[in-house]
Amino acid sequence: MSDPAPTPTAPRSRRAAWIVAPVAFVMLVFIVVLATGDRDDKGFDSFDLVGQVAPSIVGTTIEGEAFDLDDHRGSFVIVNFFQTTCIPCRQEHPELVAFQETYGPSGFATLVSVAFDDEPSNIREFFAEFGGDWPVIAVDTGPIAVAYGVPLVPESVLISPDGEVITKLLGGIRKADLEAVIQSWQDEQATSADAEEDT
Amino acid sequence: MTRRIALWLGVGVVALSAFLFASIDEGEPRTDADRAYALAKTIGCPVCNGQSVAESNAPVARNIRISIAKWIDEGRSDAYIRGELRTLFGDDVDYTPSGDGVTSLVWILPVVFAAAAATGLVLVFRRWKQEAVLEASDADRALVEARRADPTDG
Repeated sequence: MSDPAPTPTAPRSRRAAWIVAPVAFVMLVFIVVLATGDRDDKGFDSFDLVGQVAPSIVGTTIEGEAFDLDDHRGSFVIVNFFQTTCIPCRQEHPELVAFQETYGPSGFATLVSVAFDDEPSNIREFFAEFGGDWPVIAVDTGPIAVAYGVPLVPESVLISPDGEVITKLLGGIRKADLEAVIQSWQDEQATSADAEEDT
Repeated sequence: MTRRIALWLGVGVVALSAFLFASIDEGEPRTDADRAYALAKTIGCPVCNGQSVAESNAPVARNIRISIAKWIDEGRSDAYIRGELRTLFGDDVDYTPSGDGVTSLVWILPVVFAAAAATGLVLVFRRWKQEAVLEASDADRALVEARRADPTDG
């Protein structure tokens, strides 16, 4: 039996190219779209609470006193998320102490610390060693940390006297940074008020 | 040829069965704890590589698990909980892709590729079928006739 007549088919390499090309094109488009997509405001470090009413913080301090964030309307509030074993938290602590000593007594600003996965006994020892006298909430703090979108410590959230979130400060903070942020916010408020008066 | 088709059909049946098995809905979680766990499995730990908050032991993962349970106790819907966590930790924590925008490609592309693969298989099977039908040429017929006329030859 002789060989059948060869059918007129496209060369194998050309057919392969017809199959591979569209797949490669789609994959390329997919990669380009993902690589160039805007992820800045939706990544893990996103924080969408600025300008919103600060999430509630109600709890009992390590001294056994009740704490309610709403009771501190009229003052700036710095909510500091920390852990006693975290090195940057230890490094920022003297700055917080200095800030509290400067602005706490007048009621201009209030500090409240929220312990992140820590024990009250460790926190008492920490404050006894490094100083500081402000409310610290150490029990049932998980939902508070989640409500403020805190994945790691230290992080601090600055709340305005009218209870709105001004900004979140990632990592260890310094007294001067806090003062600068507060001053900047006050300047903005003054500018807005002037603009409203003008209109 | 029939064996080859049967083999491919077998492969297709196995692939289809695996796909159906994987995509069958496990049903509604029976308890709040089941629901919390099911949700936690689909929420990424913000500080871990590729671990869900159900798997991770990072403090933030534990905090999120506690918050999920609390929201469920409050009667919040899954959509609400996902939305809150996306707002607080970013869209990347939600392992269930939405059907909007670029993310919709995650749903569309597998269907497109599956359709393309099925089309390819059909084309290949058809080509095999065509190759299997061989026409005897005049030379073939002459050869057969010659052998019939003189079976002892050659």
